[in-house]
Amino acid sequence: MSARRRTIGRAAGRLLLNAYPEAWRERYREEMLALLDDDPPGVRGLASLLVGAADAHLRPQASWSERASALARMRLSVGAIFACWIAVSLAGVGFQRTIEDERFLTAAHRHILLAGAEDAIVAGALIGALAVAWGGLPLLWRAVRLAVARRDRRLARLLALPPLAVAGFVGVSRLLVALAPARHGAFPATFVLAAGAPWLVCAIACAAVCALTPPAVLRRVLPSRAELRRASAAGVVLSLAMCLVTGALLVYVLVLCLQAPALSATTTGPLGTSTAVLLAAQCLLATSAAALALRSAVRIPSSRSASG
Amino acid sequence: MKTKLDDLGRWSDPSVLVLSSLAGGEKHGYAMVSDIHEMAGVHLGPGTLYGALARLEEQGLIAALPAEGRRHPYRITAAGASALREQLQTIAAVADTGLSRLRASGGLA
Repeated sequence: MSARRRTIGRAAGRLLLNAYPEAWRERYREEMLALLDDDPPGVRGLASLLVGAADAHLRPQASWSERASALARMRLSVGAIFACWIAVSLAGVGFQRTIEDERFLTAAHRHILLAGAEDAIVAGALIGALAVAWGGLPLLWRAVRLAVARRDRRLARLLALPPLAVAGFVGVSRLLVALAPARHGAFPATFVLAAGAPWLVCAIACAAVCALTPPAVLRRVLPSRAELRRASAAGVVLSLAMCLVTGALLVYVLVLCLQAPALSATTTGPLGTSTAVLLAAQCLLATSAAALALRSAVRIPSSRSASG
Repeated sequence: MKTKLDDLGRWSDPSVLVLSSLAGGEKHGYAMVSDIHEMAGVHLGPGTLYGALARLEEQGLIAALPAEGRRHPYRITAAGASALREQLQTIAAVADTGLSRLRASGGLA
């Protein structure tokens, strides 16, 4: 490996270490840094770091948790749940846009299960929004006050990132729609491919920023026990709301495929993309996020009892 | 026969390599990577290595030694040696059976 590649690999490896859980980094960071200096990773090595980080989040070891304080574990769980809520919200907004078409409204009038699933999604979204407001807004306000009082530019940048990311994504979406050629049916495949790829990259980047920011902010804000307990309780309610939204979404898609298959074959997505593909992607995103949130919520009670 | 290493799922292969390396004496991360590369021709990525180390340590099959600067050497424990022996005996039995069947069928010159 050339010296330049070694330098890049070493720097990239150090950056990827930040993707590991805090407790893992407390235990292994120093020796991992030594390994990265001795043996800078190539592409495969960097990929192993990504996989390792995901595995460490999904299957944390009890020995790391003993080192991290109970409050730190609660903070991580709460941050993870709010991040998952953002992912479910993105799926929900996408779902709402997908079924805006008059044909879906007509189908909902005809099929009671579709209407019921839509109502359940709305109910779950409302419950989740209330839980976020109750548990999350005090934390957000605390973070803003701290950023101003300490003139903490890094915290201020972190707080500004999600709205900027969403604004950027909305801007890119509107630009692509404005640039779309006139059509009497589906968009040409070449345009969908040329525009779809950057749009998808923007969507993923926006989702990643919105999902990673809450845990990062909580690491810097260090909320009080009372605030954290309130946020933890809200996190549990939020997880259940996500399960309701996800379950209803899956029921909707299943019933749509069975009762109104013609609708799932339409192209109501942005740039004329397939409705079926969009709905499948939304289901996958919501299910993954809800599962992760539920897993984090399950860990909260043990952290609360350990924190006294 | 289920060995303790079977509980490690997708991490069982790197774990066997790590334990085999540590069976030759205590080593830190880079020494393990080099030894495993020499022994088996496999280059473990840092994420893979530390995923295996974390699980092995959690199961009590290896133990961390006092740090030497930034490097933390590890040693294999008695439980780790026992688990490694079981796993390697299973692998050896499969290898022997496979090779003898190949010979019997004329598949191996």
